Amino acid sequence: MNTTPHHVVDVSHLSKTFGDGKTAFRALNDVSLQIKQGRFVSVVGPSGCGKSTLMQMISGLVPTTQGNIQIDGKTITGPQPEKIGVVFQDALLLPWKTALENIEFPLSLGDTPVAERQERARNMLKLVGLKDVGHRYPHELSGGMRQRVAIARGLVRNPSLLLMDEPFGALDEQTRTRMWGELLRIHEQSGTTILFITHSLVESVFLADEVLVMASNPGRIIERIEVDLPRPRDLKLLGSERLGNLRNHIWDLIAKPDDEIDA
Amino acid sequence: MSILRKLLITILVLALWEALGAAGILNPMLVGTPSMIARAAMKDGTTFLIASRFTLVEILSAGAIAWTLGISAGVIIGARATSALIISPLLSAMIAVPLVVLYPVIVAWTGIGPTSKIIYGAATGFFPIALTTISGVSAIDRRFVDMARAMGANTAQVIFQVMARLALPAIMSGLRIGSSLLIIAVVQSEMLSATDGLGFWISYHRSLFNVGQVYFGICLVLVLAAGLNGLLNYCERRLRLQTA
Repeated sequence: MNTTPHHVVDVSHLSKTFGDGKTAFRALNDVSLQIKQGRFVSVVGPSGCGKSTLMQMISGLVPTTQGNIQIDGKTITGPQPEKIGVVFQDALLLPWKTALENIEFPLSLGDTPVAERQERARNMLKLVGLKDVGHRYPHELSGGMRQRVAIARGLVRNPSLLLMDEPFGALDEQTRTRMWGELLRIHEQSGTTILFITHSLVESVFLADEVLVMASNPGRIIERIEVDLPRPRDLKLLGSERLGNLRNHIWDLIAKPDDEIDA
Repeated sequence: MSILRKLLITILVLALWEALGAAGILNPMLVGTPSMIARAAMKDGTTFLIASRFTLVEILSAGAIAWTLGISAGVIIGARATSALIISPLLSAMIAVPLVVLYPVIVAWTGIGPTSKIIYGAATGFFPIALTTISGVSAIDRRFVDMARAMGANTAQVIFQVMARLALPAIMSGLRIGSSLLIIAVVQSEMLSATDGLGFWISYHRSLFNVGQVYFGICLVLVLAAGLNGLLNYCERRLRLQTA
């Protein structure tokens, strides 16, 4: 296995089986993927294709059945908070902490001095464009703001990889569109490698440099698509023909295996 | 204005009570009169104040034990689904055991001094506190646990900084129930066998038909209970401000 150092993520022949014997369920079968430093890769697929399992294994929360996950050349056996930042579908901010304290949370678990913690959290708050609301509690923030705080929290330890699991799935369309612009800007400014899991076809194409299309039963990657849209990306691209063609291509891939209406 | 009205109503009730007692409509030997309570306070006030302090120390000691053990046991047991599943029914069954039947045994072990009251009170308060904490902790949104682990929290940090904090509303209601049962237990055990304390003096004067002293003692127990309830309310308000 040759790991070139510029591969931040190197997943090889990853499989996951839940249960055993007759009731065993193959959630993920022989998944391999590499992500170079600074790239934005999205994973898209129907529900139940194992994309969330993939993300849980990369974040170290769920053990692998077979295969190997390396981040920065180091094999993952458990959570790696200094290498991987995670953003979940819901912001999951601690309700008794202010926005700033929530961003500090990952640092407060270690032994980072308080002054440095606050400094770094404030910089992150600025990066996500919320520098004036650091003192507010989660219930005083809008859904989009909460998710931006969650992104800041994911980035505060300056990780090699930011793992995002359908982070905008719970937002309304207008907020989501605005968040796409924000995320592209944050990606550009921070240069962090991002692995973005989504079930939205448009989202997967618009944000990423590369789209991994997954299918279910068993969960596997069926195609890798290089997105050759220019950067920096403008929201106007959303209506472009090139993006539409890519989106339709992915839809054909996903819709092909079983043409069920209830999908 | 509202304080004035409350004061007025209190005076009115007391006057009515006194008048009904004096007129013989209410039997003063059964329900006392305000003047009898006042006379008892003048005569035995010091004894009762010392007794109040004695009882308060017992309640606070028992409370410290029941809160600490109840919350930590509840949080640790509730943190894991399996242990919560196995131990909760056991604790629920033990709540049904009238602990008072064990009181003579506790007295036999530790004597009739304050120790037996503290043990009995702590045991009484422990079960509801532990049980509500278990159910509160096991009911939290588990996604927060995943989040904290992914952020680098170790087991202790996950349990005490995230799970226990999320379960706080449930823990508070457990403390409320547990603490009031605990106050009852302490006073009750003083009535059964003791050397001092409000329960002891209420029971003592009842056997001598000193109705005024009995009611004075009851008033003091109410003051203690109200004071501790106020303390809990204060804690709850402070915490709610932060969790809102």
